[in-house]
Amino acid sequence: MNIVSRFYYKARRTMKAIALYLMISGPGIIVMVADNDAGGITTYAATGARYGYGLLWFLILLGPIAYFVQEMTVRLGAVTKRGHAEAIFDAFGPFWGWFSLLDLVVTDWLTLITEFIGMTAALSIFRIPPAVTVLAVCAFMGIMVLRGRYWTWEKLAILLCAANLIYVPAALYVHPDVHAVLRGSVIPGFPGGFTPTLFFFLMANIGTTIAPWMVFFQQSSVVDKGMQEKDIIWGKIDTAVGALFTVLVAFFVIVLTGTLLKGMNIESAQQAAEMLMPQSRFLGSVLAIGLFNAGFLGAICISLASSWAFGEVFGWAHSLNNKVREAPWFYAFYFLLILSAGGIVLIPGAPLVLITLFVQVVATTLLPAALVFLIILLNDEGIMGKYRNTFFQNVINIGIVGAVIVLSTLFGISSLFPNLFPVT
Amino acid sequence: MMPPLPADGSSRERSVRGRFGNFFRNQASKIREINEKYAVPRVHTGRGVGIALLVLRVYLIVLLGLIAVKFITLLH
Repeated sequence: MNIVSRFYYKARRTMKAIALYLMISGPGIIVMVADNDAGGITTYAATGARYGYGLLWFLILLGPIAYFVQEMTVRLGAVTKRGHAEAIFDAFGPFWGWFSLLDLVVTDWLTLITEFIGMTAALSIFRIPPAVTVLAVCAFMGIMVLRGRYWTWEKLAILLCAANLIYVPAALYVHPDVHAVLRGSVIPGFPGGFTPTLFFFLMANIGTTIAPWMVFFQQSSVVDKGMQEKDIIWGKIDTAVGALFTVLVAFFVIVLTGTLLKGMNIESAQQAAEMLMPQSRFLGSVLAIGLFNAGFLGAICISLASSWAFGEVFGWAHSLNNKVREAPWFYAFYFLLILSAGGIVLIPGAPLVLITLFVQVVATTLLPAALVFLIILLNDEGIMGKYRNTFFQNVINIGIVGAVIVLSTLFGISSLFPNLFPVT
Repeated sequence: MMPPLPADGSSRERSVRGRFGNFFRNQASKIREINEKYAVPRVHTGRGVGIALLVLRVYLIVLLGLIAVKFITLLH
């Protein structure tokens, strides 16, 4: 009897914990999976095609790195009850506040354009005109925020995250060499030596794993959800699960293209999908649908990150729980962002390739600023109290930030001036 | 009391211009208000943090300058 009651008690406690996790989970999973946006899928597809399974180990390493950076936003949001933009204004004054806000809006808007480029390219494979794609996407994004509350938006976003897992069965379908995949996953190596091209690919993968908008998005999302200090542990688990998901998706995209397109030089996921079509219409379609889904997920998160940040600083009502008449500026800003970004893609002869290049460069250049502020804020006892960074967290986070600063600077310079580090 | 004048084209134009003017005046005063609200940074920057922020400023100015140069070069 004692054993039965003890078992019943434990089972009930576990069920309660799972229910609580499901209630609190969301921001971490969404931000991490949305990180595998159109640009991310393109990067992974190109990495797999170029190096096969040779860089899988590096990708697995990026999971914990993304976790440690994003976990800090959970604590900061739950403790200060403020979004990241407002936290920077408060902690560092107007200069850095405006700088961060403008940095976020510019990079978000440019990234949003690349999401629309990805989505229109993906659906053009199915002969859907770009104008139809842009209009349909804007309409659906509008409905998502206008018809519901934060909870509804979040659950729809998680559904899109689940759709991102489409790459897992697709990669298993092509029967990859399991031994080679495992070898590539656990034995570090630089296929073909440490060349400038390899460095470019490593940097592109880092750039798609950690981005400034993610810091702003997750902190605002934690605040909008109303998470408290006691929920931090669940927020951390949520972020860890998200990091696992993001690595899983990236891993299987690389396995897919590494199995079927190894040795080929591809420049976009759309190109990869088109190359797969003659081999397997199913796989080509999966890659295209996955690319559209990734672009859409990225777009819904990125557009909200900016609207939240502006709302926080200007003091507008800025929650998805507000109706349009309660938060007109928040929604106006949201629609201005998505309509203008979608409109750019439809301009005939718009320099879309140049925009895509500049998005990567601007985002990596401004990334160190976001990370440095994060570290300083998380070390301030007056702001964070007992939730400030521990010595161990500082060692890891300062190490990550230092490495990212050096590498992203080199990446930015090498992208701007390719002749300095010739890419073969 | 005078009855309101019927709105012709020019008065409507003036009213739209007036609304825009009001909007921008409101935003400008809002920005001033934000600057005043956050004028005193809450984080007390020690020597190390001060140096880190100064280095960050220089870093951003140099890299953003490079981006601007590259963009202008590509436009030409």
